[in-house]
Amino acid sequence: MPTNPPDFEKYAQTLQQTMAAAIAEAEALSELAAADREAAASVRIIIQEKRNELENLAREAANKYVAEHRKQLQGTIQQEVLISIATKLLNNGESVDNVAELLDVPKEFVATIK
Amino acid sequence: MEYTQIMQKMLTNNSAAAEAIVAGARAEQIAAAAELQETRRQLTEMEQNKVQILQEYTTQLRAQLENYIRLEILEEMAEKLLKKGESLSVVGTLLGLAERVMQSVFRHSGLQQVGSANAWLEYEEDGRSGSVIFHHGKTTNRFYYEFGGDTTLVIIDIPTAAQWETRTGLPLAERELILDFIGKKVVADKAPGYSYRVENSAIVIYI
Repeated sequence: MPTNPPDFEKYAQTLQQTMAAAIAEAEALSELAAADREAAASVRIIIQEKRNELENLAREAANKYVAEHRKQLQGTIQQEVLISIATKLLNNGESVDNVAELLDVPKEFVATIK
Repeated sequence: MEYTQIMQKMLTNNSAAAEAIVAGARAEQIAAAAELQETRRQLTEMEQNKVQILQEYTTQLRAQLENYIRLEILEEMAEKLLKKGESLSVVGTLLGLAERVMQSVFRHSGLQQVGSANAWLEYEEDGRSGSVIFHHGKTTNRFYYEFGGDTTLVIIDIPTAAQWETRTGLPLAERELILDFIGKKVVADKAPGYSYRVENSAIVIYI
């Protein structure tokens, strides 16, 4: 019994349709992905702007605090520094008199640390 | 029969390739959607924690500013100790300052290495006379000066070579270096455009 030859045209059409449908779906998905990426980039810009805004506010607050308390901060830090240096010098075997003379501070101050 | 099998195989392969294309695009879309979601989450988190973030930034910046103040104080202290004759390395170690910082303090302090120690000058002015105060390491000497006349601007009294060590406590071998330092520094500080010469018992600043 003779067999019918395959319908090449139909096969070809099926191949083409399958691929065309896949490409169309892939393109649609890629468009969605691109839109999401763009949206994410916009959100990142907003985050950056908000961060800058917070940093500027913080800088302003920190500057204001330091300007208002500068003298007090200087005094406290100076005291800390002097105590730390005097302690090191005393630990190195320097006398109270020498340390007081070197740091220009009263002997009582050094003696208290000792 | 053979053609049919080949065609069927082609259809199967084609279908797999098409699915792979879609799967790749879907994976890309899922990743992009996740990225967007995560970014939006970060934004929401930031908005919710605005006050806390602001406080953290403020604390960090305040600490930074306090560190600047601390560094200023340490640099002032370093200059003071160097001028009292302590060496760069001793002061650096004592204050915990890096060599780079110490070098910068040294450059800005007016100190200069002269012979065996660092030296610097101060001035006491009293009308037409005064003193040039010369600090060299832990030794301090005052040299009297007077304004001169004609082409002489100032005469600074100095001990002769024979008197040098007894009167200054400084090594005779460094006398020439020291007097040159004083001459140059006085001209630079007080009489730009003038010259100096070292005589037996005086440094003369003249035009």
